Amino acid sequence: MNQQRAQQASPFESDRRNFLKLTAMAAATSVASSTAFGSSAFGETAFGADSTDATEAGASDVRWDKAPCRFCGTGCHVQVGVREGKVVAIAGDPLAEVNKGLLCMKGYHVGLALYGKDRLTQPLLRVDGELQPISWERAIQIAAEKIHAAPERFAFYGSGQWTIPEGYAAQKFMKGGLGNNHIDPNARLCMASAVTGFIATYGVDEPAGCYDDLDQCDVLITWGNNPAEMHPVLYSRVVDRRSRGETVEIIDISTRRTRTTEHAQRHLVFRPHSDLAIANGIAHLLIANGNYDEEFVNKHCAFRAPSDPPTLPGRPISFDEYKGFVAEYTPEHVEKISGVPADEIRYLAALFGRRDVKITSLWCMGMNQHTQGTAINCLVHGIHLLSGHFGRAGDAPTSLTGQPSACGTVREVGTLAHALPGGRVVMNSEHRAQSEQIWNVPAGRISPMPGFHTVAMWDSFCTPLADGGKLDTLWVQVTNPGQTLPNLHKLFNRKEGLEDKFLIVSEVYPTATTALADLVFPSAMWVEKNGMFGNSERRTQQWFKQVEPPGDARDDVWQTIAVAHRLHELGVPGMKDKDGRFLFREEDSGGKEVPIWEWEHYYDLNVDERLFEEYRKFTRLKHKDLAPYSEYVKTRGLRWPVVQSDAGEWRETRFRFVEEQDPYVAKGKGIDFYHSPTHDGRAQVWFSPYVDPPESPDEAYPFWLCTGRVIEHWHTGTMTRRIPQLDRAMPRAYVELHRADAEALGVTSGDVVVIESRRGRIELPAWIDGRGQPPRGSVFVPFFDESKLINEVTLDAYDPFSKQPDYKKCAVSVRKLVKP
Amino acid sequence: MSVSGIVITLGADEQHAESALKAMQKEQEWLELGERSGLRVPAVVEAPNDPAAEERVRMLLQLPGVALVDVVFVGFEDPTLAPASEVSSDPS
Ligand code: SF4
Repeated sequence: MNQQRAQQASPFESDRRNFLKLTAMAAATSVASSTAFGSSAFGETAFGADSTDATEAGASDVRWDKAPCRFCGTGCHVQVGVREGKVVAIAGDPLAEVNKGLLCMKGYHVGLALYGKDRLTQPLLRVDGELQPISWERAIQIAAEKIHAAPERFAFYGSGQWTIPEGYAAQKFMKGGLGNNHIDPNARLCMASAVTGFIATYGVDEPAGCYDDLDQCDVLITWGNNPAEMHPVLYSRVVDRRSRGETVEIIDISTRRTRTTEHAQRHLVFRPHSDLAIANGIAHLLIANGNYDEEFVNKHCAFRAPSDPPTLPGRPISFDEYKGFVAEYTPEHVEKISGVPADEIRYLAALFGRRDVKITSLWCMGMNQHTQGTAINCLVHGIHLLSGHFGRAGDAPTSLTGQPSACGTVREVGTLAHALPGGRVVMNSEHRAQSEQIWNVPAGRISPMPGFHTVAMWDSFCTPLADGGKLDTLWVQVTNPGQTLPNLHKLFNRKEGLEDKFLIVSEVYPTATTALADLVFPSAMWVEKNGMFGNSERRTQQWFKQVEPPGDARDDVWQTIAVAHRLHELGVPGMKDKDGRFLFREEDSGGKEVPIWEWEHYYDLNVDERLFEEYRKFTRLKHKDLAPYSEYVKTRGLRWPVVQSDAGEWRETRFRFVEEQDPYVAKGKGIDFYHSPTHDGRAQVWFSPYVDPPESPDEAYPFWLCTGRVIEHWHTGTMTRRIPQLDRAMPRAYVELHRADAEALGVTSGDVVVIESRRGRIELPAWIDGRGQPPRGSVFVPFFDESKLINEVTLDAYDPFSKQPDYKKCAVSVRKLVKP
Repeated sequence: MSVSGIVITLGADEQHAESALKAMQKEQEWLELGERSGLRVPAVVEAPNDPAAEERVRMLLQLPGVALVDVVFVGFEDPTLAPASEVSSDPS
């Protein structure tokens, strides 16, 4: 800070400061005087269209526009202030129902994520071990030639941070173009078990409820979930109700004490993996005490148990069989498995047995990153169904997503190795035919064989072709697998030095992944491009490009289309539709083809809108209807299904499967699970037994290791570690240790300890009685720090159905580093 | 110079809330309070730089009678600071 300059502020600086102060006060006033969450009438926002907000304050040359936050799955909206081609201010968006003007610390610094000094600004090719700048022309040619050489050995690895059009373009390119299903996203690592849980229970993916449940529930149960840090605005939304005199009981069921626990009335610490026993214990008591909701169950539920061999649909069982299976899970037996006192299990069961309270369950990675992830997801849905805590506002089993478009891009566009857009799957011939028709590609273009899921994809890519590896070229967009894959030595680091493997990475900054890349495409990010996200509550959001990307950075959709067009020029038949036209052909209003594969022409029309309108045709096939693009331009997002009323208005859906809320539930039905796996309108209440985890602490590796995020950083820190305010607030990774364990190891806070598993080791400073407090025998390490790759230690075992790995538990040893 | 828009949520105890407001009114040099709306008070915090702003927000949070402080606006561009494109965080 130049003090002299500050003391002698120029008139310009003084004007500027006054403008900033005015804008800041307007933003704060708007939020402070806003209607409380949940008190707005259905279908309205809490603010009128003419309400005051930050964007109206003061005359200025700052241009304001809306965008969803770039970071987490909460899906807050921000107002972006742009001056002279640069983002200069961020304010919460009072018109957004999700956050009503509030943001967390990541959100209000999101604009700075664009301006790290080491942005990638030109394509790079690895030559003699070094990344060297090359032209886009050459970069696209090299990528196309690599794919052309062996399209069946090519894979696309994407992201829950892909925008909807980005994911859709990649999906069409792979499945509708190359006839290759080797496309999978990083969301496989974060919410695949939620998907299989929803499908096994309701026959269709994604939550029935929405964030409004958080405003209405009497009890919030967080299952292995730390929303205070991971979805902070949502948690504030609940805690804030208390400041208005409302009562909401929070019960935190988790494996360590976190910031979420600070606001909870009850904290139940369970042994890792034993949540299945807790859920079964609640179900057992509901039946044994006779306070399950018999009417709801008789009308709306069927029962299921695992089959042999195991399949996702399992096998049907009777209520009596179900009752017999859960009978083993007495409170005392559950206490023995989980460590949770029997009386706490009784308390939970009694709570679920009450009809006069509304209960919302929230979960995210704790239940999803679990080798029994599908099972525990099903069991928690099952408790809600068995007890009838479903279908009223505030009564909902709700899984959250970590990423901003894990729902919109991965689950809805279906960018998974087995899926097609709109809830279609490649194994189903009717679904393939529907997709081929919408894409106008020849019958038989789409392969019926699912491609490699994430773990299998990277294992195959890191295995030399001569040793049975099936992939040789892999393109990564909008994610950083070099830091996030489990067991990195096996699934990523092995790539180093393999001559027959070619890694293409589209990125905005250098990362652990670009460190092994052979070809790097510099990407535009967030408001440097048009985009659409779909958040955790089925809300589809849209934004426009507001600033230019730096240097030669370009949109990921453009990159995909440019490579597709080069393949078209190379004569790859899949890049033509059945009329012989380019797969991504777009025309102007006069019917003339627009060469959108040329960057100079990419923004001649709105490619996002064109792709979205095509994709929208898929969404009606499984009642996930989306509105036209133009409707999203006008709003801060709409929750699907969005259907048009007779009066022509587009109406969103807050609660699915419920009469008068969900347009697909017929009058008089009350509740209808219209995608029921049993085709009779019933949801499935599952029994799944507790089984031991694949790896538990033993003499050599006596501690549990759990990994996760911190509030300051988004995932691998690629963006947030370049924001000085966030970097300062949380500069380095650490290991949380229980005080008694630390004392036994002779460790004090700040000492460097060695964490070692059967797969790898790292050194980290210890943090005792820190922000999170694990119980004895457990440690926690965040994964945001590129210089401390905890995933070199984690386990790559995964759930048999979702194929999602378990980052929450493996066995490690912990010792103080002794310097020679 | 750093300018932030914040929303201060007061605790339910009116006596504590009042004394928190009084304490805040004494900080006119860097804190501008807006019109109270129920338990919420909009405000603007000025500070010579971002770390100082963070410290001031932390200080407000520690006042008895203050339940929450939410930052709702951050202005980035300031002629007296290095341009944002020269952010010096080195994550390696
Ligand atoms: S990081 Fe998540 S909670 Fe924070 S502002 Fe962004 S979307 Fe909201």
